[in-house]
Amino acid sequence: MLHEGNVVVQVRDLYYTYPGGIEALKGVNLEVYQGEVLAIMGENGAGKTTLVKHFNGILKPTRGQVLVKGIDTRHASVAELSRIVGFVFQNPDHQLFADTVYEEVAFALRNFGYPEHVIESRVKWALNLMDLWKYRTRSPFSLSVGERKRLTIASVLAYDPEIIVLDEPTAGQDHLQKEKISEIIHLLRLMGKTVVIVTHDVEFVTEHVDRVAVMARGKILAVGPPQRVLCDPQLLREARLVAPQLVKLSLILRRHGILNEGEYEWRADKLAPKLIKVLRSGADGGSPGI
Amino acid sequence: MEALRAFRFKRENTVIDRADPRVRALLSVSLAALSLYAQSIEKQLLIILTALAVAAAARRLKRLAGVIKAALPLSAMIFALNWLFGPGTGLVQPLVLALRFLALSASLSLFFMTTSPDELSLLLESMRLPREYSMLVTMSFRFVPTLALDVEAVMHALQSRGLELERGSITRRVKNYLYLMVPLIVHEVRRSLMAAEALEARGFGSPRKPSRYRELRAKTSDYLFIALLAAYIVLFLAL
Repeated sequence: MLHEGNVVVQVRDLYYTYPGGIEALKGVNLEVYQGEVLAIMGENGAGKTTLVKHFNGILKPTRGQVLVKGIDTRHASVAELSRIVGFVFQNPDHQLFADTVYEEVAFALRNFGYPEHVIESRVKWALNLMDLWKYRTRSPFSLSVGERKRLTIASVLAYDPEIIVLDEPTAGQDHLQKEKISEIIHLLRLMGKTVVIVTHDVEFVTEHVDRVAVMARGKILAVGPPQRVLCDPQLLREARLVAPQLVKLSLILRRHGILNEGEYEWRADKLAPKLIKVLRSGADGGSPGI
Repeated sequence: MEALRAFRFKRENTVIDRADPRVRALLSVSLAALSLYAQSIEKQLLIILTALAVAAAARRLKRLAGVIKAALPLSAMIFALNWLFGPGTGLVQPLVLALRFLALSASLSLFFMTTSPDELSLLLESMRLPREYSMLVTMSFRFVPTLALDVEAVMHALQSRGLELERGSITRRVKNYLYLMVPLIVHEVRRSLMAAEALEARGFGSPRKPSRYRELRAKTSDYLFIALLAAYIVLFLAL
């Protein structure tokens, strides 16, 4: 799954200060590997969005550098980098403007100079993928919030970038929309895309990502698989994140001796057999445990 | 964008900030009026320097210098147009007009930089402006920095889809900026509807006269400030 040698984004000692003087990033180092799904988590103002805005050159480093497929972002335009890195912004209303859903998706393809027949096939493919082809003649502003979100994803997928950044994809979405976003991420994984997700949603992260980078106050505190990073109470406290429900449950189970010291179960399908075993032993006349 | 940032209010605790907003309005209006009256380069420069001195006392020298810098291209255009097409032949009159634009920008920015939306509202109501209108003005100023952030967000979103705003012919560039306008207008209309609902939900528009947590009361220092301003105006006119 992860090819450590295949780094697609390399962040080296990155510092960024906003024009107003706020230092948002203070020495960030991070590597994003080809084909992985990476989540960047942290409290509000930790610097997550500032960091990912460096991936397609919207922001240029104050100090340090960001290499995207070996290209130094300081010397490349946003348009050049956007062909490699597709950015889906948090608020769909910030990026929709066309008269029709079709034109919205075709916009980036036209900017990149694709011929009309390619544009047509790519738009059709992307809209079908996001289940929006039926709305192709409608105004983007007439769609529901979830559909607008999917439209912004379609408009990025249409030009087939290698890396896709999703900024807070689950914010303000109901359960059904979250499920749809989960399916999209799964699909992107199957397509071999590298996906970077900026999110607060710990439950979402436990199910869908390969690695988590935890940020606080402009620095990366830890990077690793979610089962390690999200089971570290001290780290979560420092990053002001809430532990996933199952990690909280694991702590209770550890206190009652059902799980061993230092043992966590962060997936329901792995924890369930252990609980069933304990409950069954209780039903058989033994100690119920809890 | 820089010009929009000039409207962002940042609270400081300086002698200028502590002054009554009516006094600050008087200062800005006086400087602007003197600039309109003055016909010499020296006097226009004096007004700009006065505005900068007040900004320094309010710990906002850098910001005001930024506003003047942002106004420079337009000022240069005023100079060039008056020099080329103006009624006179000399350089003095076009230079006075260009400097007057900078002096007006500086003196009026000074007021908005040092006055919070709350104080602006109190000031307008003290001038007997109905609350609906004072709210309209304060809300407009309140949302300028938010609008600047929205412009930035929309620009980033468009650039991320390969749009190069500053590339191509003039017509191309103008068209590029039209792409910016649609999401911006839609977003701001939605935002204003939400703001209106939020205001109504908190009793705005109630027939009763609203009470105020803070009332404007002039202090001794404010009268001293006015006396100083009057002396400055007399000296300026005597020059």
